Amino acid sequence: MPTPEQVVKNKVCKLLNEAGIFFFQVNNGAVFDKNIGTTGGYRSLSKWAIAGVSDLIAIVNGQFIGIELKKNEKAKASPDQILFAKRVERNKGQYYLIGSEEQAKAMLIKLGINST
Amino acid sequence: MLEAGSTVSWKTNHILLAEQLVKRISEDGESTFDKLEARALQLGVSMNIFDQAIALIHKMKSVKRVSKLGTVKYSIQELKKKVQLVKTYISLAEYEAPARIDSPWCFDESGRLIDPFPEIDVSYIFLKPEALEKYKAELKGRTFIPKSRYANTRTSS
Repeated sequence: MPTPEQVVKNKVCKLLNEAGIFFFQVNNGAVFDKNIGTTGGYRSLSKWAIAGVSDLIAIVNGQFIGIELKKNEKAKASPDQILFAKRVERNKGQYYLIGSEEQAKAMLIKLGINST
Repeated sequence: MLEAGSTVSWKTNHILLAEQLVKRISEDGESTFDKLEARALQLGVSMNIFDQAIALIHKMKSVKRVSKLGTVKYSIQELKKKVQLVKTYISLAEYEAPARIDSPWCFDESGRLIDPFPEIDVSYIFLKPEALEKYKAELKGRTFIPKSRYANTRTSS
């Protein structure tokens, strides 16, 4: 059964795909290894991997867009995600926190893309 | 590797800057990301180094961070003390502590722990239930009659 965030992710990805946007999902989670310790554990992230990377990354007209997906519109970003957002915006990229299909449509309008 | 003649300061090193930021947070009691960023900009710190320092702070257990209204609040939190396992009698006996004259627990010349109450018999503590019953009976001068384990379950036909 998909989690609430996965439901939002599927809807947003479908919308972005229909709009013809180049985007991809980021798999930046730690990998579980059963050989670590007695009960298994997570492998440590690479030295240059950072925490809080957005779930989706899109590029529209050379513009970097980080999209963080949430289960609903009220959900908050974690401190690491806020730091990532600040770093993206400081480097003239865009960062969106999306918790519903309506917010994704609003983002597309802001980017000047007709989703219909 | 540092080049000869180069100087390391908290403005150019993210680890040193992180230390300074933690100091700042502890002095203020509580601080936010925006406040720290403004302070860093004021002092002319590179934003790249500032971001690296903040990322380092996010990994510290002693700094509590809460995301609130689009910014991050930082505060210093006391770490819980690790639970220490109780030392065994043997390990305590091996511990070379200076013996106190007024203490009942003291050591002999070879450094071995002297039992302060040798007259007290504590051997019964380690006896099995049946042996304990026998010990108690003998102590009170009674004759010990061993109970059969299945005495109550047997039925005469």
